[in-house]
This record gives sequence, structure tokens and C-alpha cells, in this order.
Amino acid sequence: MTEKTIAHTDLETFLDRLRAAGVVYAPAEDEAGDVALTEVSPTEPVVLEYSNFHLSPKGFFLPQNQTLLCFKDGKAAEPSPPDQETFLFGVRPCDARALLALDQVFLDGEQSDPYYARLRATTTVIALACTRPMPSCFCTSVGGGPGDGAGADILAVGLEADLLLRAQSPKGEDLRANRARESGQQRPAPARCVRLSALGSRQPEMPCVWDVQLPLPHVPLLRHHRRGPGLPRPARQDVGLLRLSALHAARFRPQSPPHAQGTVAAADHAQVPVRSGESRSALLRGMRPVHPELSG
Amino acid sequence: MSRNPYLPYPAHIEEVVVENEARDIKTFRLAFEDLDSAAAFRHLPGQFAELSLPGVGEAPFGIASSPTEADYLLFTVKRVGLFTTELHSLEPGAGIGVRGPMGRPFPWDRMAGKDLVIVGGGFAFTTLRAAIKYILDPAHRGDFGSVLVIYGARAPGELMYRRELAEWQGRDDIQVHLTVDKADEGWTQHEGVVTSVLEALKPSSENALALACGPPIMIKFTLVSLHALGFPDDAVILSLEMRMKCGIGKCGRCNIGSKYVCKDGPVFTHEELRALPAEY
Repeated sequence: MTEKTIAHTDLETFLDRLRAAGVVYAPAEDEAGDVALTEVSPTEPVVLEYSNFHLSPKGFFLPQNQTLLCFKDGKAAEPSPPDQETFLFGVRPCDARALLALDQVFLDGEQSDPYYARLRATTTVIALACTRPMPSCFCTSVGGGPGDGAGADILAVGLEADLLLRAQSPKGEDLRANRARESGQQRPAPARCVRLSALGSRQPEMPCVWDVQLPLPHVPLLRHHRRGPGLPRPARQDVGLLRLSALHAARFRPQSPPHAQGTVAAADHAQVPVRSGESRSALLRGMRPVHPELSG
Repeated sequence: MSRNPYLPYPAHIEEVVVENEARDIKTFRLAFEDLDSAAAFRHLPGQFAELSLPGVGEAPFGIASSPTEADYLLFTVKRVGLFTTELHSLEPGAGIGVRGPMGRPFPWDRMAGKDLVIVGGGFAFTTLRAAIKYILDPAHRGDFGSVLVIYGARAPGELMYRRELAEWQGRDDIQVHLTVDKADEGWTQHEGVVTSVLEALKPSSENALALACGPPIMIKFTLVSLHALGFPDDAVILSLEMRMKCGIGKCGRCNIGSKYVCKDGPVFTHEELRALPAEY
């Protein structure tokens, strides 16, 4: 899957382009001051600093009220499908991954749910990597992570000055490609990815945003690392968990490449293998210091 | 794309038969409005369907007719709540929606070549009626061994399908024993619960399967009696009563543990039920 970056200042332009193709829901403050997925107007400010919404986006796919059938000439008929695309911008990776669990029930198997299927088909999920996980978060316990793109069509990652968009599905790829055709330009992958790849931590031709090692505050991971039934086990831990207890270090030891393996030793932390032997600060360099704990 | 499973087939009521003296159990004979619907609806005894009335709602009912009764569907419904009260008020000609067939039928492959012991109680006899009609059809009767039916009700006036029961009792390829909890004047058959009849008749469990449908208390003691007669748990076939909603294993209204009554049932063997958590 391919990726590209847009400047943060271009986010509004990006959303405007989406608006031209359908209805756009993006994070905005509601009347109570909470950040919620809202149908934002072009003049409304989009909020990117939030942990998660009070209501999950599940309601976009399984609405509380839905017309299931109508009657025409005494015969039951299916209401016509939504006539425009819905874009959900800013869904957190945990909620995007949760859609895969819903898919198991409502899409897969011998009988799919036609109403869920068509909302799923006409909705584009643009996940926003999580830079503010909370102590109560448990995405890693169900196979996900703050930078996991499973279940989304596009994963957006907030970088220093840019927003990196990575296509996760054919639909996301189309969207990315369309925009590239429209704007006629595609910026190269961000420099820090290239720099990290030069250090040999991974395949240089496959720029991988995960190697940026998303900064996490100390997340007191719970001991029950049971994975949800049926969810695929990720090939490797996608998330850089730098402050780990010894227990978690043992559990989450990343699959190390055969070369360039180093460790960060810290007095109060377990020795956690980190690719390339770069210091932690170097790995974190370039990330937006959105969390007060991380700004130092 | 396959047909939307939430859309009901249009049908209408052709005939309404009052089944008991209390007049709260009626059998509705339904016919589809068009040939396509009739052709698409293919069921086996033991399955159920969702009946719907516009503006009222939808509720699941076991199909009381056999697929060998090709021109119509029968549903025997006791008046207990909103939907059934509305249904009971309908006259022939009224429109109704039918969604289905749904669920797993009785295990007809396993039943072939076996002697069958069919135990029913009260108005749970509906899908057993469908099963008996299916078995007695000339095209199928040769597939099964002996057939013993024990059907009990509270009182003689509560026995359903009385005309058919009398007809079956006149046949020599099926044994039908009727029993009532409390006999009245003129009742000449068994008096007592179905298990007393079962224990008196002592049907052999060799190469046999038992089908039991009835109120929980009847099932509880019937299971004990069948066990004493030597029926293993996987030879006892039960049907669960549950308020299924979507009927296709999506809504989660009827699940017991990891099983959906609507999709994996409603027919289960006793062995399968023992493996489920005791939620029902």
C-alpha cells in the first residue's frame, strides 16, 4: 500500500475535496465541549488533539434507527441505498479495528447483513493514529496498536508539520490515487522515514511509518494480553513501546532484523531492543510533542 | 447478490381453525401471494419462520405443515401477547408477511432407517405435527422404521389437530397414544403425564431416535424416562423455544453461549444442549 503526506495546513483542502465526493464527518467540539465525529462545515475547525470520542463510529454502520423495508404495491421492498459516500476522518485505530470484528458477524459467513454491507461499502474510514493513549486503553490486548491501520481504508499519522496518509485498502488506495491525479503531485515519503531506513532497520524501498516509533507515555499495560477471538495476530508489534516493564519487554520483544540491533538501557526501564541502536530521543525526534509528558 | 433476508414474502390467510376449547390456540393456513415466493420458500419440518403484520411487528413460529403439503403453510399460534393477539383477530383474506424458512430442521438424514419415538406436550406439538405428516407421506414412510407418538395435554379440549390425530390412530403404520392430565366424561384414553405412558410402553432404544417437544417440566421428566429406557443423549432430539428476532444469527437476541438458536437450532440433540451454558 502506498502513502503520501500533506501539510497540516492543507488538511482543510483535503477535507474539502472529500466534501465534493460525499459527506464528511471529522472530529470537532460539540456543544458540551467534547470532541465528537461531526458533519463539519468548511468553516468549522477540525480538532486533532483528542484521545477518543465518547461514542464509537459503530453507529455509522449499525444505526439505532434505520429503515429496513418499505412497501410498494403491497410488497415489501428494500429502501434505496445511500446515494453518496460517507467519509469518517479521525477514527481511532482501536475503533477502526473493531470494524473487523463487526465484519466477522455482519459480512462474513453464509449470510451477510445487506444493510451493514452497503453502509460499509459506502463509507470510507480514515483512521488517525493515536498519539494520546490513555492508561485505560487496551488496543494492544486485542492485537491492535495506536498506529495500527487494520479496518481503516486510510491511516493518517500526524507528523511534525505533515499528515501522512497511508492507503490500507483498495478503496483507500483509490482515494489516494485520485487525489494524486487531481493535484498532480505526490510528495516523497517523509525524511525521517528515509533516514531510519538508511540505518538499516528495514527495507528502504518500503517506507514504513511504524519505524518512527510513535511516542507513547508510560502505558501501564494490563497483564491480560488475551487476543480477541478470531482476530489475526499481527506479524509484529507495530508500536514502539519504549518504556516497558520487564514483563512487557519479554512479551513485546520486536522481531529483530538480523542486523543493526541495539538496545536502549535505562535505569528504570527494562532493556528493550530498539532497531538501529539509535537513542530513544533520536527515535522520537520529529514527532509532534502533543502529549505534555513527551514534550521534554 | 442473494435475496435480502429481511424482506418478508407476501402472503395471506386462507383459513383459520380454532384448535382448543379455550379458543386461544388457532391454526392459520397461509398461501403466498405469488408463485415466486412459494417456489423460494423450501422448508423441512423442525424449521421456523418469522410472521409479520405491518404496524404490529414480527414474531417467530415453528412451521406446523410439512413440505409435502405443498400449497400452503400452517402455523399454530397461542394467543399470549401483542402480536399473537393481533394475529388472532385476523380473518381469512388478511395480508401477512412470512420470512424464512429459518433454523436447522430435525436431522432427517440421521432419522432415516430408525425407529422414532415422538413425545409432545401441549401446543409445542406444532413442528412434531409437521414431522409426522412428513414421515407418513407415501414418498417418505418407507424411509423410517416404526413410529410411536405420545401426545399429552392438560385436558381433552386442549389437544390440537384432533381430526388428524383420529386419522393417525386409525392407521397401522403409526402408533399414536394420547394422554391428558385430567380426564373428563367421555375420555377413554390415557390419563396422566406423557412419561407415565412412555414408561408403560417401554419403546426399545435400539436403532431408535426420540423427538421431544413440550413445556420445560415435561421435557425435564421425559429426558429422565428416555435415559432410563437406554436412549443416549445424542439420540434425543429437542427443539428450543426462543424469541428469535433476525433469524439469521446477526442480532444476538437468541444466542446461548456461542450458539444461535435461530441459526444453529432450534433443533438440538440433548448432547449438544448439555454442552451449552445453562442460560436457558
